Amino acid sequence: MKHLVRPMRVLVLTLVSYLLDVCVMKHLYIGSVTASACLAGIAIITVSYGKKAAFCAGCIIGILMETMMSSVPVLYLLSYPIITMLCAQWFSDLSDRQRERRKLAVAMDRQNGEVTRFRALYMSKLVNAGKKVVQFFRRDENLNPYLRIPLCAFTSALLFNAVLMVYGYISDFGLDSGHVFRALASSVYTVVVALVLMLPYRAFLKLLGRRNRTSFLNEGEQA
Amino acid sequence: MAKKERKQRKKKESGSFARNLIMVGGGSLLVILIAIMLLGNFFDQPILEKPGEVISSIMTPVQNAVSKAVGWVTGYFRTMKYRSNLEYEYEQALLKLEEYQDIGMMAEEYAARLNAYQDLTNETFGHEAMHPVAATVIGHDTGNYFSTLELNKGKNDGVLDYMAVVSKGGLVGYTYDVRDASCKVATVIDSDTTIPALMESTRDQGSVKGTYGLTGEALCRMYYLPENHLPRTGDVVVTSGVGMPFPKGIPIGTVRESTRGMEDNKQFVVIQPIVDFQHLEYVIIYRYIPSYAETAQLSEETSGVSATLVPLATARPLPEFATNVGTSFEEGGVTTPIPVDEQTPEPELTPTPSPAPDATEGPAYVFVTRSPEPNLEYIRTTPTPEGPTPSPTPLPTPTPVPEFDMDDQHFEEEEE
Repeated sequence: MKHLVRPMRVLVLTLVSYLLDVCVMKHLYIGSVTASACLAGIAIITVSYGKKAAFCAGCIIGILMETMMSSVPVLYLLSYPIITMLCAQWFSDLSDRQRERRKLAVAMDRQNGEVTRFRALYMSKLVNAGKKVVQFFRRDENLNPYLRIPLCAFTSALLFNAVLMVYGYISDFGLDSGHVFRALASSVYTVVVALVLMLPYRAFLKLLGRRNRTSFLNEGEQA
Repeated sequence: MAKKERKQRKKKESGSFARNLIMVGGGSLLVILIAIMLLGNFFDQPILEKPGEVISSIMTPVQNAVSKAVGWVTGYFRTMKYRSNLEYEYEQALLKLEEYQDIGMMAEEYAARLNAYQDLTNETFGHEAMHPVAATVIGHDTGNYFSTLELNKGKNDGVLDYMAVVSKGGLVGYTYDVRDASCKVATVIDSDTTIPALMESTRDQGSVKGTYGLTGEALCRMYYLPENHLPRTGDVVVTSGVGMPFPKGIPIGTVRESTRGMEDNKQFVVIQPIVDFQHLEYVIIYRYIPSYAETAQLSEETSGVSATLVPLATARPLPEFATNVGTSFEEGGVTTPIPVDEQTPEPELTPTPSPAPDATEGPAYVFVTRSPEPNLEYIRTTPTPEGPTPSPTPLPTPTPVPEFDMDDQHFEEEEE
């Protein structure tokens, strides 16, 4: 029974996100652009509870949306779980095995002097900035979760809007710059919703003020 | 110690296994559900639509309840916003109302002023021959016994003493104590004012005197009417032009009550003035000098200045007056002097050496030496005040008396 607490929390947050999306967000239009509370909730669950929980949340949202709100068959059913899994790959906590592997890779790079050679060859600031981006994705430590949640929400919303735009393009809707602007505006609005929901959700998940899930679990185990 | 560590590791492994089992089991179940729903889109099998129906039956009431709650909350906020909008619009409407009230008041003020100007214009253009000049009332005597006004026109504008002052077709009074830029007006309701007047219908002459100092009412009394005539209520009283340099025929008022014959000690009739003395703002001064008043006026105003008539080579053109000259006995009932002949040369004023005029004393003084006009009669340009219009008292027609001439008499007997 004790092991069912976390799945139940995930289930509750997923349902709340779904109800927020279908019942509340329709009243909060800003210039005919609305946000996706489902994707914001999934982003919070992704960063907080990891890939498996994120996948389950994505599946539940997809099934609910397909059952209750579907206008295009199979679109929601597939897009939500897939987008969730993609974002979970990028923004969820690193596992112990991944962290160790990256630590080893970074150490080997330094040992081989690749970084030094890289700097010697390309001194321009542009290359250094690009290299920082590469290092960001090859980091051996987790980013702050309060930074990862908006990033995850923005990425997932952007992907979801991209899927819708592709569907529109296939269906001969006639895409123009207005659609792109609306997609960007919707993604930014989703980020804002994620920032608003982040604190109460993480408080409900007992993760408010903690950097990652591992520290919380370790503390619990030590206790 | 090793046993304890082994026990903790075993516990940790079992907890992790259970969590993984739940998550993997749940995930698998969800994947199966997705697969069934996917297949339901491609195969028309009722069993494949069952999961969707179950989920819909569970979620619909929940979603409905949440929608109602959210709808209530949003409705409340919408009402609040609507109310705040209403309050804002109400305040704006109040501001607009105040603004329009101000504009309305200004419009009324302008309309009243326009009416006054219209009256002045009518009076001025209707009696151009009397040389009218518009003046503004700049002061009132606030006493209880006298009723005098102060106007902003004086000698600089050609105003002299005893000139008629009218407003809205009625006599206000006459000027006196004329200064360079101002003059005073003795109104017809002042107790010290006596103006010769006549009944318009019967042409009975008398004199009108104010009662303000006697009774405190803005009324007049007409004395010295013939005893055999009893004026009727509503009879119009006008100036007679006798005894004062006034145009003839300016309405003074109407007979308010005529009880002269009923009471022995009441030798007057009460006249209601036409002019509203409480609301006088603008008046017109008639700078009219009748011909019979020429000598007296000039001798009064030009003390120390002798006027000599110098014949000119050409006659001075006189303005043509489209007015009825009151020379007829039948019209005016009063014998008026013969109008000045057009060939009369303009009197040229030549100052005598003694006494010399004081140069320091004289301000911007324009001595008007306008030649006297032929005696004009006032023509009403504004309607008389509403009231019963009396029928003129029928005058006794003279009984024809047979005239006998002794030469025309024939006696049959003598002829025979």
